[in-house]
Amino acid sequence: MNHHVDFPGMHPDEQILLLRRKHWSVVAHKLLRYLGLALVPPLVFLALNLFGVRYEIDADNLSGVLLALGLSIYLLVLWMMFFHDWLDYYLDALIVTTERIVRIEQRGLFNRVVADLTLDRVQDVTVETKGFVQTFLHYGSLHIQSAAERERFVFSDIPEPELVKAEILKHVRRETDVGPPPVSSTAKTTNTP
Amino acid sequence: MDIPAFAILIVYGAVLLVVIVFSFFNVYHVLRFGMHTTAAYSMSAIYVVVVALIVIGTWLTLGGVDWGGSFTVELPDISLDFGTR
Repeated sequence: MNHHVDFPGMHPDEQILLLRRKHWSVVAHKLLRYLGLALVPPLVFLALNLFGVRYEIDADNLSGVLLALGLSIYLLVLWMMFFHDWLDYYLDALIVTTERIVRIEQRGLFNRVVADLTLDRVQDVTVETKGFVQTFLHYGSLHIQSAAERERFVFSDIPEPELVKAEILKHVRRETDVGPPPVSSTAKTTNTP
Repeated sequence: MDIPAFAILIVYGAVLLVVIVFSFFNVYHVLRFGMHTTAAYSMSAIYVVVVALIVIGTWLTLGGVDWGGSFTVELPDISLDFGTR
């Protein structure tokens, strides 16, 4: 149990059993992209040096000042965009508590969706692992079917979805206590590269 | 043509203001919705420090500029001859 973590809207007597964010690879590839873009200016300078074109940022002329300020703005915007993407990743969470399953989805700034499903309404839990990368890195999607006809919960890129499914079903059985256990199914789609 | 140096600084300042406003909103979201974890606080601190380093680095690089002065830009002299026929 994660006693040191709470989330907005958490009930006083509610306890968090499990908290999952998306797999680290989701933010890692974005980090690599921004890192690559940040390396473009020094690589351009290096390439120009190799071809004999030498340029130094000189505060005495307009081009030097514009270059320095432009580079500063470029790096600031890149860093801000990466932090925004990280925030978007970090604030998405799947939380299983003693009472319910909560899915928090941050969709940009000032746009946040929090959906919850009480444990006694869980009907079916499906895990989907698709492709070489997901299989190798042990992450995939979790589909939770509620008593309503419409599928409500889909949480993608979740690490170790099988363990999450098992944890959910364990507490669903404990919550319902009577009748047959809910159906669990695993769908694995492997595309041969 | 003379371009006042402070005009360029004003443009940079305007962009910096936009960055600061968006940064404030981003950090606000992390601190409010980030579930009070060490990762949330650490990442917010790292973000603010890197922004500060970039701004300070720019200020140090351009510390020798006389922002009260101006830059002279020499435009090429283009003359169009509309000679009579």
